[in-house]
Amino acid sequence: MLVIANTQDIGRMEWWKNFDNNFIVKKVDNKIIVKYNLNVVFNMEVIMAVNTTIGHPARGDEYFERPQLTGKLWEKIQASSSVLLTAPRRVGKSSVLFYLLDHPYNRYRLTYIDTESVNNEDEFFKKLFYHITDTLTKIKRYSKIAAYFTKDLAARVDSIGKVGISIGDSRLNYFNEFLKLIKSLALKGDRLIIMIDEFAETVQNIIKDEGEREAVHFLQSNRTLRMMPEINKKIQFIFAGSIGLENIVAALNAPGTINDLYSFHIPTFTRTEAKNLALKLIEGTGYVLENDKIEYMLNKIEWLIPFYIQLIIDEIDKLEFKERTKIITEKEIDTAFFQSLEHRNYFDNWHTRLRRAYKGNDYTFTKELLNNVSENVTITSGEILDMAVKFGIEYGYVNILNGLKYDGYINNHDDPKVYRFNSPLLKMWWYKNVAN
Amino acid sequence: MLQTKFNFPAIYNPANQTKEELIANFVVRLKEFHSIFDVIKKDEMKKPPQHFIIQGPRGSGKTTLLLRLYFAAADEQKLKRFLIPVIFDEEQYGIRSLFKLWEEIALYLEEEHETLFLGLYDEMQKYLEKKDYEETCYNLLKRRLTENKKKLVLFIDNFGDMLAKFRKKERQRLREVLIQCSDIRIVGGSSVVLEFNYDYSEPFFEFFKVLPLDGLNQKETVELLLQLSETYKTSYKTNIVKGIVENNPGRIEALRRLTSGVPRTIILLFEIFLDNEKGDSFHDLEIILDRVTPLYKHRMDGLPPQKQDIVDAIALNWDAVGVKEIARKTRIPGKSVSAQLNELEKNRIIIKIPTSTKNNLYQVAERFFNIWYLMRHGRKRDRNKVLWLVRFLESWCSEEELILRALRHIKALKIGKIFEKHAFYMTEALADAKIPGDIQDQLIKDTRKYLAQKNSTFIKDLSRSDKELFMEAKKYYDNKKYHLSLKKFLDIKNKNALIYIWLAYLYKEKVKDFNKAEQYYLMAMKKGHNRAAENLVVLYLKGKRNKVEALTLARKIFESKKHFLSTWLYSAALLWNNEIEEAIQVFNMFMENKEAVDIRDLIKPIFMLLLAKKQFHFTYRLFKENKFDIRDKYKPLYYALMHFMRDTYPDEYKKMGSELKQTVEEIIAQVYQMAVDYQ
Repeated sequence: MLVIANTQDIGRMEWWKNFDNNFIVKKVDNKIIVKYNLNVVFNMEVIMAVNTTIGHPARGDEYFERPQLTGKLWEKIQASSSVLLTAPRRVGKSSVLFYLLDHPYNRYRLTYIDTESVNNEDEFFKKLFYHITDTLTKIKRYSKIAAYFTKDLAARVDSIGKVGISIGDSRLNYFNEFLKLIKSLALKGDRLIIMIDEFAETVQNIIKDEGEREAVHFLQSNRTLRMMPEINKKIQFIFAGSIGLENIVAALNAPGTINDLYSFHIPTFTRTEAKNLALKLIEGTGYVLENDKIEYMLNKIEWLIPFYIQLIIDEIDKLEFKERTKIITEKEIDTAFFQSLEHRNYFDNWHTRLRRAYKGNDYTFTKELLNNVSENVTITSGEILDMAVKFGIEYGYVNILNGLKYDGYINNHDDPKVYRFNSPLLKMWWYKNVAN
Repeated sequence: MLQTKFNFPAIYNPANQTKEELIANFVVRLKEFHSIFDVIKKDEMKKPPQHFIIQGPRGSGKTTLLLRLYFAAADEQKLKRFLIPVIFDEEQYGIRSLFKLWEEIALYLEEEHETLFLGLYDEMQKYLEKKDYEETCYNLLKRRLTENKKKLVLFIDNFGDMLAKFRKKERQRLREVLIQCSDIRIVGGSSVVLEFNYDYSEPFFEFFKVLPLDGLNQKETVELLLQLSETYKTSYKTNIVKGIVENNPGRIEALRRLTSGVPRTIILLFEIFLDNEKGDSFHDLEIILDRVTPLYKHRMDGLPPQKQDIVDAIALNWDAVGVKEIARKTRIPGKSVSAQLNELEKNRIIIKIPTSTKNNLYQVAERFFNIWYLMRHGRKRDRNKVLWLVRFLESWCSEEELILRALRHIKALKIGKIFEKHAFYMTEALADAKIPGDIQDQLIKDTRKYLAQKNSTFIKDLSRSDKELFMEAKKYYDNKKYHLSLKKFLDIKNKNALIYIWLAYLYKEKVKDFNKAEQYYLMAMKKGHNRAAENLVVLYLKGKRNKVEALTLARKIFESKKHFLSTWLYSAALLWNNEIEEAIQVFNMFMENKEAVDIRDLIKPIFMLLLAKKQFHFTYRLFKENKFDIRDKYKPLYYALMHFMRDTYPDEYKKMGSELKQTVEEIIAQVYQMAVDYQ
């Protein structure tokens, strides 16, 4: 179908060209002729989505590189440490793991496994076992693993399917199988880095389904594994998770089970990193975000983690812009802030996970503490102690406080005796939806 | 079923539309479409991809958007090389476990891409007895995808419902899979409204990029309706739609607001309002209501009792309502109502409408749910059932159009080719929508005749016309059956000023309900009844309440017309309010009127009031100097005055005849009482 368009439509045509290759533009005499596909709606505006990644770990082009951070982490790995990545939720721990996976150093083989659904020790090592064998059999250099299976395990195999190895589960202890596997592994100078995501969640699942004693045993088994010379000369572990392992272990009274781990803290973005991320997110979208507006936005976000930066950019993207050039002003930023609070799914978890983690007076104390801070901006350590006395938990409240700090709710960076919310967004959401 | 103008069943089950229809009609939600499709198009899925959830109330267009994305992904040349789009509806497939999801995907792939995936499902079944069956299924699927160099994008409707059926471990497991798997992308649809029991604490909902489907704005609503009329123009006059859009844009906006911009509700009601004489649209409405009933009923049943009561009170009202009114109807204390409303608002069952005061109003969030509630829970003989339709008609039609609509409906009834439900509901709605009494009377009588011919059960629920009700009310009154008379007057749909005066009178004189009487006198005044205000002042005087309001009203009446009655009322109100000087001035005017002075029922109470206010000398002067010789006419009053002035005129009181003694003593006692009552 041919349409003779007016010259004022030229700007829009440029957009169409970017969006879809379904038309040809020709100039005939002084008119522009557009031939377009019937499926293209004539008045449709081009929508170029912002490049946000919400929810899942960022990988490849989506990942915002932090060379200093990853460099330091590699130093620790190269020093043969097993590492515990510590950071509050949504800071980007899993994304860092995937970056390491995608950019391994020479002689290092990395593998990533998520054990969130595991709820007992044997299942954990079984999952680990199959994951490692699966990883290694894909690497030609480690074909000896095949010999291991055929020789030692054939006798215990009930049936062999096409998918992995199926073994009569009740007759095996997978911790021992895993141990045997690693001991017999000849890595020829390479090191295997096993990155376990949601390890703390696994411990919590075991506490819930099997009991605290089993959870301590599980932690001890892992430590035993790490401390064995014949194991730790070949493999290292990196643990990460959305809940704080240190707090869980402290609550179990078993700090010794992870005292060999190097605690590597992933900080929030620096100002420069945050600014560059914001610009990257709007690249190619037609949005204009001047320096002073970026500063304004970052000042409002305050706690510079990728999740919140993306959330605000995403909300800005949903706004109706009157002008084609889409200049982002303070007004749009303010509106985006306001609208982001409407997303229950992004914030509700901050509240409901406290309900799961803490019961009775512990929960009531936690809620009242956060309600107080959301309303009054800060709270002193003295006031917190007083609150703990009110709920009869003056001897155990410190663990809860540390948990809130680790999990990203509050911090006392500016003054050790004064606590505030990490994120103004979370503070606003909490005030609106929980405190009131 | 008769063919409808917009082929509504297809629109309300988008999967029943042809691909061409769906694509042609897809003129809104474009931004959301591109937000997702742009990502799908440019991503080769070499790494685990972004997953999406499209979230919105029922009827907001989730299924349509999912289908549009599915078609776009299937048609896109760049993607055909490696990407297989798969579309599911949880409702249809009953996927209750994670392994079932993998199985259903396998079956789908076998059916649609036989050469590549033949035998996949059977292979999975071989491991059915294994403890790790789910993992096996996933691994088999993944292996086959890798072998064939294919990736999947799963469009799953009712994704939230599906996840809710999985055990927690399965949800965790699915998240584990998706975090590492680069072969599967999920685009899920999920309803929000009434999902009050969905636990947003689940890690999943953080994992997805959520695209909310908000209500359509005005521009989008217009585009949608124009496009639909264009697509289905063989069965519909596109010009009518264009005409409304161009000449009455306010109607479209009214429709949009009343439906909260939910596309399905907009289209459904738009069709109803476009004057479908046969009533196909009502038939379609019933089909849709039946479809949603199990879901809506289940959700309502899941609410605790008090919340149910509150939702009930709000829903039956249709219009937004305040806390006080909800508390009154439910008999739940206001504070408790407020707390429950907060929670209902958080769960998006109701919305808060701010006002200029601190008292907000509340309304059911999903308007279609409200329609369902009224149609299914509204009392049969209560106009509530069609309250939603009345509101729409009133906002949609001018007075003339309402009349025309009523006349067309009457004509359709005479022709006889009309669904009974449509005949009943539309008559009920039109009858309530302020059409002239005689047309309303004919409408109801013809509908009654029609329903009788059809042996319809609706006939017993059909309302009486206002005319019929008025005649019945009067008959009951004449037979001294006042409560029945009152009920009939109350049932009248379009009450005019006269009806309100009747009601006020009955409440005042027969039922002795001061508040109701006042309410109806006020309504009569609003309707412009020229005696309502006077009656109201009398009510206040008799009821000994609201003296300030009585004075304000009496002054207004007096200033607008100087009649002996208005003069009397004004002076009585002035006296009551202790504005004696002005009262005397005004009362003097009254006493100049011979007719007025002869009315005992006026003279007696006001003279007594004068005495109650200790205006003895003024009253004495009135008796002495009045040119109409009232002393003779009103002897008991005169002697009562003499009682109070016995110190000044010690012998006058003694002149009273003994036959008057009792009457005078009664008057004196009443004066003492009035001194207290009217202080």
